Amino acid sequence: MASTGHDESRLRKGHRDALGVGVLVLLLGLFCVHVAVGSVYIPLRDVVRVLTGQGADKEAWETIILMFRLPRALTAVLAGAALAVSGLQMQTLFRNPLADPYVLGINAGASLGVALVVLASGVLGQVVSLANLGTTGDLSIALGASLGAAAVFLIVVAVSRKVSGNMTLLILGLMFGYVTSSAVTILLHFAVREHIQAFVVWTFGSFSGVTWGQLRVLAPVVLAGLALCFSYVKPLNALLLGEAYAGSMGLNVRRARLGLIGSTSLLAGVVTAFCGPIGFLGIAVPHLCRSLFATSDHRVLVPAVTMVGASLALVADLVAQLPGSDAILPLNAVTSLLGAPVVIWIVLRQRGAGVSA
Amino acid sequence: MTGGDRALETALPSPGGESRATAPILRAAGLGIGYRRSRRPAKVVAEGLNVGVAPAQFVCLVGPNGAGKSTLIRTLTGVQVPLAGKVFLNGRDVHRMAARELAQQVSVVLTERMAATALSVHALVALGRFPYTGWSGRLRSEDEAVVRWALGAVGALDLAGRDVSELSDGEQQKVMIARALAQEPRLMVLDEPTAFLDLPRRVELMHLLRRLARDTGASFLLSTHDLDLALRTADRIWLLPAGGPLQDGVPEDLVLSDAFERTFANEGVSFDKTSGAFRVHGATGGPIGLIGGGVHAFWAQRALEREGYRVLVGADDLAMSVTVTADGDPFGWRLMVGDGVSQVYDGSTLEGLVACLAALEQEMKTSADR
Repeated sequence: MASTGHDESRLRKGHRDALGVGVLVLLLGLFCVHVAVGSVYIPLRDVVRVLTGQGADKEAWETIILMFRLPRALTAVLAGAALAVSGLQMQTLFRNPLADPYVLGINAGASLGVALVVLASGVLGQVVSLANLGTTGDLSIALGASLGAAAVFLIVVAVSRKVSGNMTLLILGLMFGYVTSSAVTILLHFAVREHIQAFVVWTFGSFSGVTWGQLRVLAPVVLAGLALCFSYVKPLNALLLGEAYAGSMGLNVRRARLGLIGSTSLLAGVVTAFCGPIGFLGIAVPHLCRSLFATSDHRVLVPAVTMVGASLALVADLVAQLPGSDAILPLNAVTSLLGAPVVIWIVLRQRGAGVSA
Repeated sequence: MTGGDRALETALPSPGGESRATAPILRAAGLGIGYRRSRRPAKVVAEGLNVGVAPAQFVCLVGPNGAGKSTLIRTLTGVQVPLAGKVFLNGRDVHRMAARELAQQVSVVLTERMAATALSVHALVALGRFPYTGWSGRLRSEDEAVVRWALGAVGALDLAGRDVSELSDGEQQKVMIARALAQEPRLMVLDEPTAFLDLPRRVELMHLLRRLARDTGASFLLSTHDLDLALRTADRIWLLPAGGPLQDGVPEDLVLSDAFERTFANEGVSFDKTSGAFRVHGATGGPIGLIGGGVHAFWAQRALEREGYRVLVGADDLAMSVTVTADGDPFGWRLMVGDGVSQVYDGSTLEGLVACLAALEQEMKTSADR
């Protein structure tokens, strides 16, 4: 009897390791499928050959894969991992299952930045019309979003130094989100139709607009944010018990909070800047992984959430492309359509277990 | 003694005869607790506190709500900065110690409940090793051994694989104590650990804590509203009346010196020295004699007091008296009126006795009105 807990945890650990390997294999498989699927048919065999540097049968295929599909797939992987991990960080920091990467108001700040860019181009009139800007237009949107997210981040950090309770911070973040949303609404109210269109398209979210050049910014920032999160697995575990307990175990709660906010802002900010505000991955993936791996241990959860987040982003982008048709769905709609049933299923399953136990 | 100044030198010798250092683990010197406020004078909750906790000692902190029990606990554990004075842990200033170092010597059990899902009991207790593990929190084999020991010490080994959210209140509290034990503290501080528990679990928990203090040699300080349990189990009691000063002593001394009575005097209840229990104010009824002893007399007294009578034990010359009838089997109570002249009730339930008294009161009231 005395050793059951120990054996059980060892059993669980073996189970978890196998599951982790399974998720990694799934991720690699999805990556290849994602690259293979598109308006031009390319056999999976050639996809793998191009990805492993062996070259494809047709040169055009190589170009399509390397110039368009690979950056898009990489963006999906980075963005999915980033949003899911920052969602996990926020849920643990605030001990709130409804927290997501955007609770701090990061995406609201980014939206405001983008709206300002849209309005600025409207004010300048026909001199620089957003529609005519092409890639430069995408870049100015990304820049506006980055600056907006960064501004919110700085405010949140300044506030978090003064405020002692996490709950206060959460409420302030929410209020800040409302204020920036109304500012965005006012800006849009005075904007011309084409610019509103440009803004709305940005809010749909997309992995397709990111070029290799932009990936050179996106990838290092996401990797830095992920590294920061991986270095915080122990504080995250302590925070499961709440700030008071974490502090009593020797954790510098303020410093940990600052690190987690920093990591989340980097991850959510940069992804929002380049891909738009993509919802639901951040809230759904941590729940999915807790249920799948049956643990709250962040040493397991952080890598698991990284891989599952990347996988689900690939799946969502695949579905959004509606393979076999020419239509493309807004990415944001797909993530919610896929994510909501998952969360509902998990919640109901937990309730059921709770009742029968 | 009640001033607490000499408490440190008179720390209890440990039971079992083996000599333990009587130097206190925790010592507060000239401590003032409260809150600093901007642009206003600080709000002082209590001041001039001089107390200490010796190794293996089990100390209960009691006092009315709002007297500052939580503030005192927060200050002693280094969470809150004192307004004056210092707190020493093994001779070192708590408020100058590094957080990790402090966490290796002091652990806490708080009132907040665990809401985390998918957290196993083993994982929760393992978090107690936080101040000892490296950056990733990975447990070494010696950490694992401490976790097993802590689970065993509270009798929760069989819970190790369970999810924390599935536990009952009593089980969860035990597990939180195991987590605090896994920190291998010299001092464990518990904030109202019995608050959510039913009576049997409360008694069990208090005895568990007392046993842990003896077994581990660590000091235990807990705040509680369970005065009766505290009186029965604590080595010492810290009595914190609203507005201070803190009184520190062996439970029985505090009772005999009326410190308990004074502390809780304004709470609408009064502490009864003879029974060691609280009594609700407002004995509105007249005096009633109670003749007899043992458990039946005790519960008869409770019932009569609840009805508002002033019970005088052994008085047989009053207008009304209740006698415990030992001659019959089962036991019974007999109610006599008019200096033992007429017998009004002779039965075996207190319900009957009380009903009879109520009828009698009604009768006397109507005749007086007429």
